[in-house]
Amino acid sequence: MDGSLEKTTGAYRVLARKYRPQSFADLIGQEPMVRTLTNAFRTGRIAQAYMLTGVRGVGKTTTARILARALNYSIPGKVDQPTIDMTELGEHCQAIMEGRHIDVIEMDAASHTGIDDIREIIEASRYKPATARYKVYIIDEVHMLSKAAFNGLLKTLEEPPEHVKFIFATTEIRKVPITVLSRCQRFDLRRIESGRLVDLMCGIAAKESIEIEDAALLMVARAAEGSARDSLSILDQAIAHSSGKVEAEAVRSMLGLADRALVIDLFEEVMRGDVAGALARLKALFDVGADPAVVLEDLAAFTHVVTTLKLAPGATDDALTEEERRRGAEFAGKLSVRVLARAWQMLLKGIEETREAPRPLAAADMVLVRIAHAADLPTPDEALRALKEGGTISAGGSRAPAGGPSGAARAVADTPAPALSGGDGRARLAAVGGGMRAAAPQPRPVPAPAAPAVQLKTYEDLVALAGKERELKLKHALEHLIRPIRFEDGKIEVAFTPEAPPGLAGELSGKLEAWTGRRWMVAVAREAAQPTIAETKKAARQQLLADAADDPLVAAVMARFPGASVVDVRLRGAEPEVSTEPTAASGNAAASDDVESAGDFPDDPGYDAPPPIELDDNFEPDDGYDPT
Amino acid sequence: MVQVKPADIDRFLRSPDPGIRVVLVFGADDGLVSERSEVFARAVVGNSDDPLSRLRFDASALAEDPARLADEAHAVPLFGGRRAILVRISGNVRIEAMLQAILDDPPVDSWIVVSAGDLKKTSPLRKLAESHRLAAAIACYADAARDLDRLIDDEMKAAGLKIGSEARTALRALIGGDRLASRGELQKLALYAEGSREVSTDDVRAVIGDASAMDVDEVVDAATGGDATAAARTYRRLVSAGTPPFVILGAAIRHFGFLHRARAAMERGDSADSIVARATPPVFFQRRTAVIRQLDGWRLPMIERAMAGLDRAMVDSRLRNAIDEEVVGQALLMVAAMAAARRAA
Repeated sequence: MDGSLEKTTGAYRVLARKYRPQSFADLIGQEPMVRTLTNAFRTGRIAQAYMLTGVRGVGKTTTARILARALNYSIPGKVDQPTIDMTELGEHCQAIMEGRHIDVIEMDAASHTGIDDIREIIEASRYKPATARYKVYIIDEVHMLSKAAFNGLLKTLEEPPEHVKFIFATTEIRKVPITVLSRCQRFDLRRIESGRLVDLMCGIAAKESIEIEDAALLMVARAAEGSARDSLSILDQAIAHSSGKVEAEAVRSMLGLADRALVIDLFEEVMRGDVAGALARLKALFDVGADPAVVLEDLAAFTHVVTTLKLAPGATDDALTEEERRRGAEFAGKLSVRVLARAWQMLLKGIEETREAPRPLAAADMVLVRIAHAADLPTPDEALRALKEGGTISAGGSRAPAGGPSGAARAVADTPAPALSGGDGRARLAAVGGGMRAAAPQPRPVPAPAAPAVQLKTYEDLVALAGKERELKLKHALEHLIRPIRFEDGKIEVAFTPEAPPGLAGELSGKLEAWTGRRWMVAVAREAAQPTIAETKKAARQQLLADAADDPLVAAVMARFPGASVVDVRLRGAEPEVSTEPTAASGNAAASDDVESAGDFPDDPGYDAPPPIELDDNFEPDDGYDPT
Repeated sequence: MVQVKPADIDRFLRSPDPGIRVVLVFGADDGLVSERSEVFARAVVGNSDDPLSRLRFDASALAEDPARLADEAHAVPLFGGRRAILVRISGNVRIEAMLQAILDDPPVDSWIVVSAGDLKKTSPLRKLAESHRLAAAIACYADAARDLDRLIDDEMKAAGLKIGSEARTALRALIGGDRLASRGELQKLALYAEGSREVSTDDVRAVIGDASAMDVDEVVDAATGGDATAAARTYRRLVSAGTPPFVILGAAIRHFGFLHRARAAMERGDSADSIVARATPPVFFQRRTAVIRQLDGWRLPMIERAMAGLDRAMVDSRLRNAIDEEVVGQALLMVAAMAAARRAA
C-alpha cells in the first residue's frame, strides 16, 4: 500500500475501498500471476489480451485496473514503458484506478451483451489512444456476451491493432468460447488462504489503530471464504459492532455462530449419559430462541472437532477457541473412534428428523436421549468380550480399545436399548435386537418379555404380540404395510406403504389399547425411508445369499458341483456360521476381524435402513479367507 | 488435389505448391486451424506488415455479397504484392459456388485460405477442396500425446528452458484440446519460469489453469493412505481457500471407484503397476507409487465399505448444507482411519 492515492478527507471510508490494492505489491495471494507478468513486462513479451478468471471477490476487477495502470504507467522524463514496479503515482494512474481514464474503457458485459456494443469497441479501437500508451478495454463478466458479439470480438483479437489491449474478467471461464480464450493469456486468480487474510487484516488493524483479538480475526477470515474484499467488509462491521477492542465473542454473535461453550457442555452431558442434564440444557437453549436442529448441527460439528483431535491432532482448525481445543482434546482422549462415529451418525440422522418433526424440540430431545444411551453402552467389542467371558458389561463406552472382534454383537450395542442392564446374555441379545425401530432381523423369534403387564419395548414385540393374539391380518399389515419410524411404550410413529388400507392407524391404536389396557398414540408420518419388516427381512436374506455366494470357498464348491445353488443361509446364535461354509474359515475370521473395526464407517445405529446383517465381516472373503 | 497427409502438412504449409490457390483448413481443433491458416498466409505473402496484404472475411459477410470474394481475389493491388484472403466459416453459409468460380479462373497474386470447423467427408466444401487440382484440404485434429510433446519441446526450447519428465507429465495432463490455447499456456509457463533453468512440477502447478485439481488429489491420497493428519490439514486448507467440500468428496468417490476396479483386476491376477500405468484417465506420475501402495492395502470389502460411507456423506452433505464441511471432513477421517487400522494390523 503506497497510500499515495489517499486523500485525507473527514468522511469515513470503508476499509475495503480504502485499502483496495493499488499496485501489484498490494495484491496478496496471486504471486504466480504477478511473477509471470513481471517477467513478461521485463522482457517485452506483453500479451495482447488477458483473461482473468476466479470466483466472486478474489479481485478480478481490481487486478484489471492495476494491469491497465501498469500498461500505461509513465512518469514524464523518468519512466516511459510498461512496468509492474509502480512505486509512485504515474501520469495516468489516479484516473485509471478511479475508473475515469479516457483510454481505459470499462464495460460490463452483463448489461452490454449484444453485437452492437462490441461493434462500438471495434470501431473505436482503430483510433490511437488519446493520452496514454495503450487503449485498454476492460470487459467484465465477458462470458455474458452473445455469440455474435464473441464472433465480432474474435476478429479484432485475431489481428489486434498494436495500440489496443484487452483485459477480460469472468467468473465462468467455461462459458467463454475456446476461440476467444485461446487468444488470451489466462490467469486463474486464487482464493486467498485464511492465514494470508489474517495477516492482511492484522496490518490494516495496526494502521487504523484498532485492537482486535486473534480469534476474532480468524473467525472473520473464515467467514470471508477466501475473498480479501469480503474480509475487510466483515472487519468493518465488526469494528462498528464493538466499542473499543474487537472481541471474539462479539464477532461470533455478529456472524451468528452459536456459543461454543454451551455446545461443549451439551456434548459432555450427552456423552456422560446424563440425559436429564442434556435435556434441560437443550430446553434452555430452545427457550432463548435456538433452533433445535441447529443445536444438533453444532453438536455434530463439535463431534467432528473431537474426531479430528483424536485422529489427526495436528490438523485442527485454527479458528477453534482455546476452550474448544482444550476440552475437545480431553474428550478425544476418553472417547473411542467408534463411539464418536456412532454419535456422529446418530446426530446426522437426528438433524433431519428434527427438522421435519412437527415438534422439533421433542424430536431433538429424543435424539439426545438415544445418543446418551448409545454413548453409555459398551462398544460392540466390549459387549462381545463380556458375553464370551460371562462377565458384566460396565457402562460408558469410552474405554473401548480400538480393535477386538465386532461381528455379530455390533447390532446389539449399536442399538439404544433400555433393557441392557439386566438379565443374562441371551436375553439381552433378544431384547435389544429391535431397538426403537426395525433393526437387524433376528435370526430366531423374539421371546416375549415375561413382564407382569404387557410391555412392548420394540416394534418386533408388537408384531409378536399381534401373532400371539391371533390377529393375523394386523400382523401381516405390521410386517408388510407399515414402516416403523419410532417406537416407545405408549407412542409409536409409523408411515404407511401405499397399499395400506385407510383406517389402519385407528385399528392399530384400538388393538393396542385393548391388549395393553393403556392408550397408545399412533402418529402417522407422510413418508419415511424406513423399510417394512418384510422388506428388511428380504433384503437381509438376499444380502446373506449374495455374501455367501461371494465367498471364495462357496464359489469353489459351486464350481465343483455345477447346478448347485445356495438356497438358504442359516445363522446359529452369536457365533455365526454359514451352513455352506466350512468351519475352517470362521476361525480365520475372528482373527482378521479387528482390523477394520477401529475406524470403520459406523453402521447405521439401528434406526434407518438397518444394516443388512451384522455378520458381513465374517462373510467377506477378504476377512475370512485371504486369497493371497 | 487430395487431402494433405498429416506427415506432409508442415512442409506443405511452409513451402506451398504455388499452383494451389485455395486451401481449406478444417477440423475440431480450432486453435490448430487458425495457427495453420496463419502459417500458410505468412508463407504466401511473406512476413509483411502491410495491412492490405491480408484480408479477413467472415463467411456470413460474403453471403450478403456473393461477388465480393471473386472481386477481391482478382483485384490488382495498387502497389503490387501478393494477397492472402482468409475466410472463416461460421454458421451455415455456403461458399462452394464462389470458390468454384475462383478455381475456374485462378487469380494471379491471391491465395484463399478457408478455415472451418469439423467437416464431414461428404461436405461439399471438403469434396471440392479435395478434388480440384488447384485446391488442397488440411485436416486438423486435436493434439495427440506425441504432438503435445513436440509442442512442449518447441516452446521450451524457444524460451531456453529445460523440462523434466515429471513436470512434462503434469503438463500433458493439463493442456491439449486446442493448439492455440495449449501454446498460450506453455508461453505463460515459460514466462513464469524465466530465469530458472528447468521447469519444475511446482511451476506447472503454480500457473497452469485447473491445477488445483492436484491439491484435491493430495487430500484424497492422504486419506486413502491412512494419513489422517495430512488429509485433514490439506482438506482444511483447500476448504478455507474456497474449494467446495463436495468437489473433494467427488474426487474421493471417483478415486475409490477406480480403486475398486483396479483391485478387482488385481485379484484376477494383474499387477498393480500395470493397472496403474494403464489407467484411464491416467494416474498422474507423482501419485503412482502412492496409488500402488493403496491398492496393496485396500481389499475389496473395505473399498466397498468406504464407498458406501462416502456415498452417504455425499447425500448427507447435500441434505445438511450448514455442516457440509464437517460431513465431508468426517468421511475423509473415517477413510483414513480404516486405512490406518488395516496397516497397523
